[in-house]
Amino acid sequence: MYVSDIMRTDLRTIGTEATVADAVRVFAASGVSALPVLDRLGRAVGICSTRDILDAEARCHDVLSREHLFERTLVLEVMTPWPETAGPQEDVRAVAQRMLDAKVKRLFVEDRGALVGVVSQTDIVAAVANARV
Amino acid sequence: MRVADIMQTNLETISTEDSVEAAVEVLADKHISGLPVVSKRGQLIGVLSTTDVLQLLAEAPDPERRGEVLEGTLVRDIMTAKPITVGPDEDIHEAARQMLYGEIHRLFVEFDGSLVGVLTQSDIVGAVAGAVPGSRL
Repeated sequence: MYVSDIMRTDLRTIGTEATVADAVRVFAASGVSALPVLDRLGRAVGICSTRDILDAEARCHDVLSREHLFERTLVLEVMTPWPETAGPQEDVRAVAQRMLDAKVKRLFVEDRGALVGVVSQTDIVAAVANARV
Repeated sequence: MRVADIMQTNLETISTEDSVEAAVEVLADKHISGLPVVSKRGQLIGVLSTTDVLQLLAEAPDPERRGEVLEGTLVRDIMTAKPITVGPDEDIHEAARQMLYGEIHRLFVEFDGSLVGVLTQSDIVGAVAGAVPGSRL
């Protein structure tokens, strides 16, 4: 089974100019746990996950620093710069191992440099649930 | 393959009376996305996930007081009560279906009314990674 068989192509994204508070609103409204961060030309420059935000929050030790984090910090500053990606023709077993090695919940899928989808641990669990694995 | 074959038994837990701020520290320190919430008698009564915390932050009436909200809110106020559980002898395909239909990332494993483990999506992904090509899990 290949990544293209189970990946999703309906991506939610966020811009580099967005603040952490903007990202929290998108996370809460959409239910996703990571957003590709796109520059003004639409190029993906990183990924901002709920984990990145909670880790940053845990480093704040007073109300002022938390206010600064949410209202005056850009997602650009807390995101993980463009991480490892998968290819659409990669085997799902190999991608499963790469997710575990990289300790990530999803890999964005690039085809010839273009962002075409995302494959997550949930997609792999769905394949198991449907007895495709 | 059964749940007991791949579940984790080394569990971090938190109490209903702890603050959300304390829970965030555990979630960040241990790099986990959900904590089982246990009563004083050690029974599983809920789960607190990173999603619950972000929902609390997003709904804070005054954005400038988010820090106070984390410190002033107790785990019991925002946890999800009565999490879905499985038994250690459950087949992992059935466990995967329960995760999918429940839209959850982890299942707590109970045996004789006690919390004995947790099965996460990563554990199932690990089973897939280690699967022999062409064989069924």
